[in-house]
Amino acid sequence: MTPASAADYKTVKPEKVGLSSERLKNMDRLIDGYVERKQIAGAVVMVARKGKVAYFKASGLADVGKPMQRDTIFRIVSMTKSITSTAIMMLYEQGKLLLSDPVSKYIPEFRNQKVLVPLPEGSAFPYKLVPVKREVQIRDLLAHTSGILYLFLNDVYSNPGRKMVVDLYKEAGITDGFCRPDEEIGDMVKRLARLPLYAQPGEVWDYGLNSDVLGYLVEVVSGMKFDAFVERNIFNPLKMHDSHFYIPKEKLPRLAAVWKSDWHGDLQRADEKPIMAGDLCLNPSDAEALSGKYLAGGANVLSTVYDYFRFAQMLLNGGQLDGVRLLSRKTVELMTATNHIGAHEAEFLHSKGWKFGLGFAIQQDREHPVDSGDVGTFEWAGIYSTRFSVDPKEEKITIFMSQTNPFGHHFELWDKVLVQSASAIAD
Amino acid sequence: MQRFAEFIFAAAALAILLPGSAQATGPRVTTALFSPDKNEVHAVDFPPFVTEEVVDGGPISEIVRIALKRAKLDAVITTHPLKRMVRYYLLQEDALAVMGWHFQFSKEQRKQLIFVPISGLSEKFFYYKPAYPNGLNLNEAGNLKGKHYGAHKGEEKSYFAKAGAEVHFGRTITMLKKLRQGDLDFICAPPQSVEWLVDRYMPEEKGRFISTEAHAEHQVYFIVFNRKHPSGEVAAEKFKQALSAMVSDGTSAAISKKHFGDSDNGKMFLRRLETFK
Repeated sequence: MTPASAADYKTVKPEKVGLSSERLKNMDRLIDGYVERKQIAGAVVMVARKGKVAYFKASGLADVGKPMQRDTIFRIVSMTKSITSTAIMMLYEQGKLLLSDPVSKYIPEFRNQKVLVPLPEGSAFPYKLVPVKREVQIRDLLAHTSGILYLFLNDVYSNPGRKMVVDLYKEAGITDGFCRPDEEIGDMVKRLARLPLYAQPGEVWDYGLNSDVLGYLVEVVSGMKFDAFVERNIFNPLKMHDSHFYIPKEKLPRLAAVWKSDWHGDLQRADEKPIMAGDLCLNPSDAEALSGKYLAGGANVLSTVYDYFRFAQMLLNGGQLDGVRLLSRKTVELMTATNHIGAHEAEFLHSKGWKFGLGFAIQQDREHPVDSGDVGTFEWAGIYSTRFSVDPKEEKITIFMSQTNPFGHHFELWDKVLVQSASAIAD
Repeated sequence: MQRFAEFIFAAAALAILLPGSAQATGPRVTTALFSPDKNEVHAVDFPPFVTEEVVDGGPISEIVRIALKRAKLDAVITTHPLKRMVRYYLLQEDALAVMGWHFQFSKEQRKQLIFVPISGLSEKFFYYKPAYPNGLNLNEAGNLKGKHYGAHKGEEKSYFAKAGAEVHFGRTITMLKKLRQGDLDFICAPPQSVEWLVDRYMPEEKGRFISTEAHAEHQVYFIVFNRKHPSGEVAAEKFKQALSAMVSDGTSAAISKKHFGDSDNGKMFLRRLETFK
């Protein structure tokens, strides 16, 4: 495969890259319908193929009285994770760490960890703590098999053990980072490491604060602040000029507002207060901070569709873009391999048949109700409704960005976007 | 900071005079990040007295560690972010000992425990000056009504509750942040902890957390040995003797001076390890 270039903002006629203009009109109709029905305020959608942007459209509003633009800046939240994974894999390629290294080699607080095992109701004490069978390794953090949790999933996958661990997190001041705490990421990670794990490392797939730990690991291993490392080694080389951990003042007008939607036409711009729902705390206003201490590898980055396209194209190209190589082809192959989580399924955004690699979910087979691409397609999303999908076989990238809460409603829309993208292939 | 040295001497008297059980409070300690020892002493992070963030783990950690060594007790101190983890190790896993203050144990639980005082602790009430530019008078119970009080778990709080204050629990740093946000009106904590935490986490707020004239009760920081541990009783006795000797020969005072002394060296020992390049 010839490395594709994406140096400018230009789009090509879809037919030039084997896509159908006519069929891509279905994407217009899809997004316009959601905007007209006031299910979302607006969105930016891109479909790129063979390194060329073939569809790139902004619809609806970015904020009250402000149309959505192609360069609108979004809170990409968990789409930060793939960037953090890339930073770790760069250090891996530099020989600074091995994926099999115990995390405690770099962050000593991870030594002698315990796993919380709930005891039957009526026991003298609600749980016991058992030693880990093996230490948490860097690969566990990349693949979410460490036994570290997110608090907000306590509302989704509730069980006594998870609740007990989440209660300990809360008491120790651990947050998901979506309401940024006033501390440095290392402070949080060192406390988290001394709290019990939810499961034995390697014995569960559970989406959690792993990328946040990885962000701190980048600091420890590189000796640089995490944001500085990413800016120097990823954002700048890829010319992701609109990607930031904290937004520059002059770009504030380009930041999209977050909207609360009941999915039935009641659409309200979120106010300054944090959005609380059970154990989930989201603070859209965090994105307006011009500086801050907290650098969350799982949630911090603000970016545009075009910038993220450049990042995704780098991965699709096997680690390089426009003559700049960030990773080797073999490392990208390792990141997108489907056997990192063994028999577990990465069932969070997807149904069965999706595995988790080293930073995103990967389609292992095609036995799904939604045909969003080929085997090997890799994807992830963000909690304010952003999603990317890379189909290596078709050399196709699809990116959707909106800023709508709550999160759960968007699966249908995202799936439909991916269906429109896939069904526009015409060669 | 001289006060801490005075309390070390007071602790000597306490260690000799107090019987094997008393009321206390508690966090837990372990510096054993590199070798899991057979005997564990658990404590809650209690900066700057017990914390892995400063040189030698803080003054109380250092005193305990040297006393354990002199008593020929092979035990390691491990710190935890939460008090209830300390209680877990003491009561569920029969750890050799835990360290802390504001301990709350039932009568039955106390029977299995041997309290050895390490140090007296002076606490003060603090408020956030921008919220109360003219000061906060806590001397009269009538002033407490409707106020929000931040307490440590295990702290005696009935006085405040009876006076109509709403009591909230949390870690000291969390409570300081809540003071700043206006979610709390006052808290009670050792001045050394407040000074260290403000310097560590919010140096821009230095001088804004003001201690009141109202006096809080003096507290005692204990090491609590566990009779259920096979070596618990013997270890407690040996430790007590070693600690008394350290007070008599001036070792404890020297440790206190090392950490809290007014000289530049003294300040150096309370610096965060991460700040040493």
